[in-house]
Amino acid sequence: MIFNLPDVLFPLCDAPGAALIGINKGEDFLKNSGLFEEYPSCIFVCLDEEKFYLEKTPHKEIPALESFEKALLKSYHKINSNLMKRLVDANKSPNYIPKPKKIKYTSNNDDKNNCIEICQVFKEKLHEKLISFIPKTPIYQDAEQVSLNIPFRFSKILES
Amino acid sequence: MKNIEFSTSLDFKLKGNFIELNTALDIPEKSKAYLMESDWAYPTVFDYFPLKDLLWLFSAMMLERKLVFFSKNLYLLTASLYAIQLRFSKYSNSNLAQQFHLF
Repeated sequence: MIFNLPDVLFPLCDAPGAALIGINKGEDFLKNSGLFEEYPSCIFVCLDEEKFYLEKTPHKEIPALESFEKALLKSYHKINSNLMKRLVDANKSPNYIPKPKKIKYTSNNDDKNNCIEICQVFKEKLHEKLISFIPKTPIYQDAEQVSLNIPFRFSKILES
Repeated sequence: MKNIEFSTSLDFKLKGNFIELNTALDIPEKSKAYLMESDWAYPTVFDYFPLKDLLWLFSAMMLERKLVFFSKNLYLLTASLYAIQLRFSKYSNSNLAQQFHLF
């Protein structure tokens, strides 16, 4: 994760694997610099303009997590009652102008408790849907067997 | 440098040109350390992003996509990155680590 990526390090957008990058500039910069054309594997999210730039190909669809949404809806509604998506696809609505939105800079105890509740519901859901399916002990725990023994590795993977 | 420990309060001074502010940051117990940002980042981010958008971003992260955020508002930018990273990636990793008895 890089909070504010300087100009000279923009090629990091081409790095392999996942990355979470922040750039302290607006959408004009994204359009003028040609970053979207240069790094199509990235998803560019313009927070001020409420748009995202995503290369549309069938195998790159982002799935919706409906079970998470159902579980979180009640607690999330206490903080944000907006049920619709805010971010719009820049390819579909290039001239979209968002309504001005006040950013919440301060919080009270209620907000804090609501946030904790959301995090806890999220934790339970994440455990139920993902972490509980991961084996409790690493499959290569036996140190003697940790080698480049490919048939052994495959058999362990199949067992798990 | 002062040792930072769980379940304590970290007192520090913020020095500006005109004012000097004494402030404190409560560090929760280890099991709730991921909630430290509930004071500042989470309220901003949860208020800004509707649930559908936040889950969409989470879904993109789970697919190991590269997410690049643009904003002229540094506070919103930092809070978004912080909240998404802690809540989604680091937080889930810490659960995995606990699952594997790494600490």
